[in-house]
Amino acid sequence: MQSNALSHVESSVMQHFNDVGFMSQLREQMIRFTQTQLRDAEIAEDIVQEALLGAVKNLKAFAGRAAFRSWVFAMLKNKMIDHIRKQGRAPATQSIDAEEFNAKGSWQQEAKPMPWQCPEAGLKQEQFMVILELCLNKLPGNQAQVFMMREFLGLACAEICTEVDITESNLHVLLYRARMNLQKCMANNWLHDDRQATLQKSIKNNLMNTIKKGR
Amino acid sequence: MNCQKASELASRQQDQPLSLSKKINLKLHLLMCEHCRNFSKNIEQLSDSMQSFLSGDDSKDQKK
Repeated sequence: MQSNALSHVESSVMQHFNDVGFMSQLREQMIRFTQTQLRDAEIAEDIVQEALLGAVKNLKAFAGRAAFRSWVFAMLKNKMIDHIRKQGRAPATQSIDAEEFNAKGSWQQEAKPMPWQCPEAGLKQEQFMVILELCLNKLPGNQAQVFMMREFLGLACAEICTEVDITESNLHVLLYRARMNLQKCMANNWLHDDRQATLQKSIKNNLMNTIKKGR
Repeated sequence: MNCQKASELASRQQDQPLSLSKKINLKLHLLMCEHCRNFSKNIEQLSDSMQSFLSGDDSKDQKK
């Protein structure tokens, strides 16, 4: 019966691998994530390939795409950590600026953080990750790299400092700048959608009112 | 404590425990300041969402 169980698992994995659209999307997403750590596109592709192979070798039944994806990303995470630990990194440079604040250290009007919640729908994970990727790509210098090391790979501060060859206070500044920029970028993108929806609604309402009045 | 300092501490708190006095100062500032409260919540959600993405848990990031 064991072979039966195995073939069930195999077919569960193959089901995802045969879904070409899903797989190419997943692969692209993995490569973009990897490139936040490793600028070298070829190495990034190799690591993604290894992670996918790892997922096949450690066969496991997957109920759905989300489960399969998080499994593959867990593999990717380990491969990236391996690579970082083997390689070591180039030193970082970063300037400290704080354009978000005035001389007294209060928020500038346009920099005031807004709450993120979209009123009803909330934000589905998929959308969140799409916007996050977009915003990560806009981060200057190695902010994206250290942010991903900390939040995605879950490395401790001391280890990140060693790998990236920066001081602890340097790291805190980088993480702070990364979070500030992401916070801003993500709020802009969500609020933008939100505002657009409100705008569309009010246009529609106005239109309806005009029609009603016209009658 | 001003907003710049408070937001720095809020970020640092994601990475290491703060000393008691810093923690209290930050808390007091957050009580008074809506903008810093938003900032603090947003960066926490950033972190939570990454984690729930990794664990494949779709429901967790909707909680807050």
